[in-house]
Amino acid sequence: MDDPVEYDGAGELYRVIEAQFGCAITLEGRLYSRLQKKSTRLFLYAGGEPPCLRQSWIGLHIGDLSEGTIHPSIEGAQIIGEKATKNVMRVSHEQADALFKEGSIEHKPFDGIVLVKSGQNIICAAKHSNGRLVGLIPASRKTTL
Amino acid sequence: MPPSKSFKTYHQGILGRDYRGFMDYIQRPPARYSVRVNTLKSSLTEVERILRKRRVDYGSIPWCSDGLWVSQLGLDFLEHQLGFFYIQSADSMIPVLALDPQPGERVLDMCAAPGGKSTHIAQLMRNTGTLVANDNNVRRIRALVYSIQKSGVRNAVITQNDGVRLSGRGMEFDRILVDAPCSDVGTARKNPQIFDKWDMEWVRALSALQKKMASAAYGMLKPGGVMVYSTCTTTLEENEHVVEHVLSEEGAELAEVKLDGLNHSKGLTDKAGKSMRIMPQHNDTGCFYIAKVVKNG
Repeated sequence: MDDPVEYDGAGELYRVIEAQFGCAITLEGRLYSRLQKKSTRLFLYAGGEPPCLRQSWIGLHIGDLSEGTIHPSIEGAQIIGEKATKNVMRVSHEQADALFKEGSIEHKPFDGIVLVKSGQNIICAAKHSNGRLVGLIPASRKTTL
Repeated sequence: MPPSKSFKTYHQGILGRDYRGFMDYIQRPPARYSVRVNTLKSSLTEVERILRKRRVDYGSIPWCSDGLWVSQLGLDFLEHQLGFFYIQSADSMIPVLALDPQPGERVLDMCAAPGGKSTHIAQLMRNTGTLVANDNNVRRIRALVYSIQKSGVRNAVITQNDGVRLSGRGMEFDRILVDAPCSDVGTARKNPQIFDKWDMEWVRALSALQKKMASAAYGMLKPGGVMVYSTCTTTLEENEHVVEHVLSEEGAELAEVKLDGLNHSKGLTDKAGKSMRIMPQHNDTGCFYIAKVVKNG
């Protein structure tokens, strides 16, 4: 896999975040990207000068940009969620537990990508599919209990 | 499988009066488990609230203000996957506390996977400075990425290199952790199969590698920089002898590690006497060996 490279599309990313979640945001640190088949994987790096070594990974994966839409990772959702003013969807604690265990929960339809909030915490981003709210949760982050 | 005769004879020889207590505890299953509060995402108060809500009993770990003893191993609920706490044995928090990384520094974790110590380092650095988290194994790096991401670490670069080959590339660090691959005797309470694998030939091969790693790490320290060499095993060859090698070959100095509330014994040789041995009977944990080496400035 190629090394992540410095990303020069911060302005575009901020416009996308503002359009989707209604917040003007400036991320502290440098943005890096890695091209995937259908999206650009984005990383936020807040450290000092990185070493001159091949990098398997840098900083925090904040989400994937695809066709003008950001699909936030869990950590990206937590960062954006601090300031988001729209497309934040509340779920109960029981629904949050079920979402992380099953990957999806029954839900009425909605458009686009939302940030899911339970209690005081943004827990992930999600989309709607086939009558269900589907968390953007990698298999490795699903709970086993 | 109980420990072999050669294991017993070897440990009787090096541990003397501590042998009986060691053999008693090392064959017991763990009595308790532990987590580290991830202060990059949560707080002690918040994690205590979560544990109460989830009906998990907990208590403070004396030597780690972010550590909590917990009554059960089954903790993979939502807040764990959100990265609010990290499931980590209480003894494996000690090397990072000994390293004492500071915000803004440049730090190398030479054998970083699966990431418990790297994420601990990042939280003590408060996500500032530069953390190079290195490992040489692709499969283990996947686990490292998972830990770094889940913990919300933003100041780390993950690299895949043989630790010995990292030196000679012009890199310098304020602090380096060498938590070296070892014969893992200290994990026997969780993984008693380790007794089957243990033999002196393996120990000697590991010792040769560990000496190379420790020397390479020392060479990458800035003047006045600090290296912590640690293993989760018991043999002289993998512990005191490695440190003595660095002291004699590199002219390094050994510094004492002081952590309140932690019972331990001194290194078993005169030259490595300032290093620290944590045996299972000291704190009802696994084993750890920790040496803090300072580069002459």
